Amino acid sequence: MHRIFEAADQNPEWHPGEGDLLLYLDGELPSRKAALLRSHLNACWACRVKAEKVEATISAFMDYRNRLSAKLPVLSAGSVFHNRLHELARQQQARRSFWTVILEVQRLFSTRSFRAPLVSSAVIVAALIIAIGLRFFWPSSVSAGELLANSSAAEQVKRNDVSLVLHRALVLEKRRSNDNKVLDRRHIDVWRGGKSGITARRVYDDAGHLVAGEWSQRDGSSEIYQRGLRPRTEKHAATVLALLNTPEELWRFDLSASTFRELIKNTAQARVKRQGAYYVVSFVPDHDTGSLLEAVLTVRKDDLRAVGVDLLIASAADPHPPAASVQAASQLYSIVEESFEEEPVARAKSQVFEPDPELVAPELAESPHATPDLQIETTYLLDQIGATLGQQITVVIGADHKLHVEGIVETEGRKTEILHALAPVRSNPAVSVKVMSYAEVLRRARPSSSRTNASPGTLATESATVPAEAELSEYLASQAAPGQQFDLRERVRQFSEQVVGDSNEAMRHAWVLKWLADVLPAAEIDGLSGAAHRQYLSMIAEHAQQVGQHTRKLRLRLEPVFFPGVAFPGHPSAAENPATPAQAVDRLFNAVLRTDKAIQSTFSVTFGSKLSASINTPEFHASLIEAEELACWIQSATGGGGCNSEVVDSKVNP
Amino acid sequence: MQRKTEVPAEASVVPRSSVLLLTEQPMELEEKVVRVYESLRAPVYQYLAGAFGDAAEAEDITQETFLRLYVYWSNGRTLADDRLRSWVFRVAHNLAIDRKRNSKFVHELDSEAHLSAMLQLPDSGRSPEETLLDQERFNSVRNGLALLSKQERHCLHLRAEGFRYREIAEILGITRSSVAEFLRRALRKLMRDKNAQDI
Repeated sequence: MHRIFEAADQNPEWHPGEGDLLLYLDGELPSRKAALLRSHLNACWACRVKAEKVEATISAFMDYRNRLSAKLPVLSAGSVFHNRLHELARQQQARRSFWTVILEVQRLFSTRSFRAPLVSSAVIVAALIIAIGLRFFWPSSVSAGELLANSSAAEQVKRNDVSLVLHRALVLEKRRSNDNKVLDRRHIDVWRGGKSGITARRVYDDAGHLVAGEWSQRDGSSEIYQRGLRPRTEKHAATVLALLNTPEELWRFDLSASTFRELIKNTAQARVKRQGAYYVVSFVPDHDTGSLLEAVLTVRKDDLRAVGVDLLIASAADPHPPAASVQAASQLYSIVEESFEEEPVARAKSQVFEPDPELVAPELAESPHATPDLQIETTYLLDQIGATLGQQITVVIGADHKLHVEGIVETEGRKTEILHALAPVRSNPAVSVKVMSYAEVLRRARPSSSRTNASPGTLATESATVPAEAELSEYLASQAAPGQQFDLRERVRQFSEQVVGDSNEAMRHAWVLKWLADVLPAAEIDGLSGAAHRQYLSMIAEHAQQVGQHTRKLRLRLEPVFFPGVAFPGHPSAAENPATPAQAVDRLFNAVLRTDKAIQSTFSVTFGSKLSASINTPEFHASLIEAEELACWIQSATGGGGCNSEVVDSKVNP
Repeated sequence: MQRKTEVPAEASVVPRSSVLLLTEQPMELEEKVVRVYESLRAPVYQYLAGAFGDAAEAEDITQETFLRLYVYWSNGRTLADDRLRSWVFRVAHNLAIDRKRNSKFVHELDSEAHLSAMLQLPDSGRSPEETLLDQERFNSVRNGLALLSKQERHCLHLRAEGFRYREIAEILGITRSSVAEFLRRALRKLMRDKNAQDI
């Protein structure tokens, strides 16, 4: 194709094709031809446009590719590859047979001065004999039995030294044996020694929370605490075999040569390898010895301290799986020392040997974790019977990860009703229900309880008035048919009660809305299951509708009294639409709070107050409208359907 | 009670005497492969996923590729530094071709990935018109890509990885002028679809 270029000089009408342009742009043209094309592009606009088109296409493609790449699943952690590589390396090494080595040696010799085949062969044979001799007669470095015995003795010496306190940090990892994936990790803090000879062992999860602990005495008896379980006492030290059968308590495994010796029993079967500054003792039982499939102990050469142990344990369900499935059915537990220190007794703090209060506190029983789904389901059940109104009942996930449903209700009947509604979730161990009736509370908290004030009651209203009495009287009188007889005072009271009642209702539903919005962080709402998500939205929609309805009633009642003849243009609240439902709920709540405050101060029965200035202001009216609009907005945003458009615009006379 | 989380130096020194991994392997080679893996795995993965589809398969082939590198080196063979990258891509490419022959290694990144990538179009500070144009451009590339032959697609993605024509030819086992031709056709198809959108 480059022949064309040669014609280019002669023919001014010549133009490069896309292919040539691309080669040029990609820097793939020889320099002379590139120069030619460059000068052509300088001269020719048409070709420059073409070249730009090529570039634009490349850029569009790169853009597309980058965006798709950003959406690709993230590569798994390097450790998966590392493990595969390591396994491969091991196999490769095993495959390096004896004969490969021989051939290598022969090649080496044949390239040097050992040209004669006879000489090289003789050298090889001699080397072989020496090597085999060395293998058999060289004194073996150290036997497992010897090593473990010496190490155990060193441990015993340390243990008997009452002037020292020993502190070790260990990591316990549970791995799946076929791909070495870490399934669980615990950090273990061990304090031992001093005069008391107590060993305190604390277990932390990966987040650093204390989850279990064991305090054992010198005589082997111990107290065991585990979060979610009752504390228990064991008279004797746990045997290693017992621990193997309950792998979830392997954190109690003492990382020491003596324990390892107890574990493998027959030390003659164990093999020792040197690995840098460590001895590695490995053991594979040659016949059925329970669930243990393999055990490896790492011991420091310096002081013969055991610093790591790996236990390959058949899973409990199938202690003797067929060989092929051993890998899949087994789990690898490894305990590795992270740090080790000894200090004089005087310097160690005594409280490290005391059980932590958070472990001892028996607010336990089985405690599975409550999920946001469960929380919503429970809330929904309560909401169905109106028990979320007025904050009667709280539904919160506590620090113990359980869902606490607590509250005090008016009557025994109501309590029964609530317990009945909660039936679907009450059997769930993650749910704790504490609902009491007032009567129960009173019985418990005799003689008097502050809660008695909370029980609904009515106030004597004989001599009391509402601050808006004058305005109401005027309005109600004007509404009455001429000559009609009625008790104006009674009418005022009724009107006030209705207004206050509506405002209370609006406030109660607004409370529930706010509570629902606050109860779950936005991220968790998205994480809810389909059903829980629908329940959540339907609750919000329902309460928003209630707020809207009651606010509307209020507005229609109050407009003729306090805003007679005032024309409110369409939508006086110029506030923009809320960005999120949470924001909408927040604003709605505040609007309802404002109107409720004004209404309570205007219509609640008091002694001799005057009408407050807040109710007959445009701001009050704007708050009512805003609440209605927001309620509508929330309803439609949560799929609860819109509301009547006339809600806001209509002016209905009572 | 929170636990202190300092990790003393000792922890990294203690050999992880894993039952399964216990070996006295010469560490240098393994480390070398790990280093190459760390630096090249992302582009290899991206190439495989882009040119062949299926991301899960692509990840597996990526790992397999570097295991091959280990075997290659451990057999005493060597690679010049400037050839390493194209060697890795060639092996990855061939592995992908082999897998494709044997299984249903899909052709095109699925439409879901496309959709979610599209939803991700940057919209901050852009007018709706600009966003729409952007989406059109995005769709037109996708439509154009659907027209490409396998060879054209492979060339395009390798070129996007920054390979020269000579290297692409080496990776795909074709001639340099074929690479030029495939790329020309690929871009022409992408352009044609773009023009179709303009009309």
